[in-house]
Amino acid sequence: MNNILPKALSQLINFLEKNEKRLGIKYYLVGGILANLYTIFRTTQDVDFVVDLQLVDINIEDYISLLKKNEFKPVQDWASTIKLAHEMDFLQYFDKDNLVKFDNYLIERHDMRTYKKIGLLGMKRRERTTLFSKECWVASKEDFILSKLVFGGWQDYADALGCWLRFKEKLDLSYLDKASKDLDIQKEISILKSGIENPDDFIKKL
Amino acid sequence: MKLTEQTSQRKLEKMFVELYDFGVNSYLKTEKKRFPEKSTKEIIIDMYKLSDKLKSRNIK
Repeated sequence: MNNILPKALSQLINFLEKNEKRLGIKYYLVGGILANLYTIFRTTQDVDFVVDLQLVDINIEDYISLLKKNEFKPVQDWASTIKLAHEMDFLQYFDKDNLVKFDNYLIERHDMRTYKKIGLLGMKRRERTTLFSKECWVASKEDFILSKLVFGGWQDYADALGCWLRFKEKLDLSYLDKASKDLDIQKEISILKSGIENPDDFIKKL
Repeated sequence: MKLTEQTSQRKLEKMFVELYDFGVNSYLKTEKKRFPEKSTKEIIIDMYKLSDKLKSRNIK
């Protein structure tokens, strides 16, 4: 099997772009798929992205119908996908070859949990770029850092630190400061700015 | 980091694709030998479950 990821990404971006043009469903990619753009070279297994169904008043069942029509495959079955989506505002499914997993976060404006707030913040500042030869919407560098700090695993801290070290002169620091207060990650941001260069130091200082 | 900055995005993506293909194909080959009764999809699902566990996130 060759070109596994580009094929899957092409299926996904075609779907998302079509939905945005025809139905107004806004989206952006985030997470490890942006690592090469924003931090250092690494691979990732799954593809994370955020979709705003609330803005266009499309329900989860209708969205699942669109996924089915476009040959996406459920992890177990679509009924379980729908259940998870209602409980967590989050969908997981595969590309048409059942190889690449998509983690599809849904914006939920009334949910005050921090990791939910980042979805809407990122949408406001999304940027257009070319990824694996496909034009698409992606999270900004600042929102990439914020989302990584909110998710808080070792790889997330490494990615946030990599983006900071690579682009610190170009980042919107006032936005980072303001958003970090809203997201309750001021400590993480201050550690990032403290001059550390090793993600292990991140964990130690936290 | 310097190496990443000095390498074009196109080359980084080419390396990514090659590593991704190699990783998935070799993982499937190994697991098919270990668990011949498992389907490709079952192996992939278990791979992602393990990957999610290893992320050990502390989500805010």
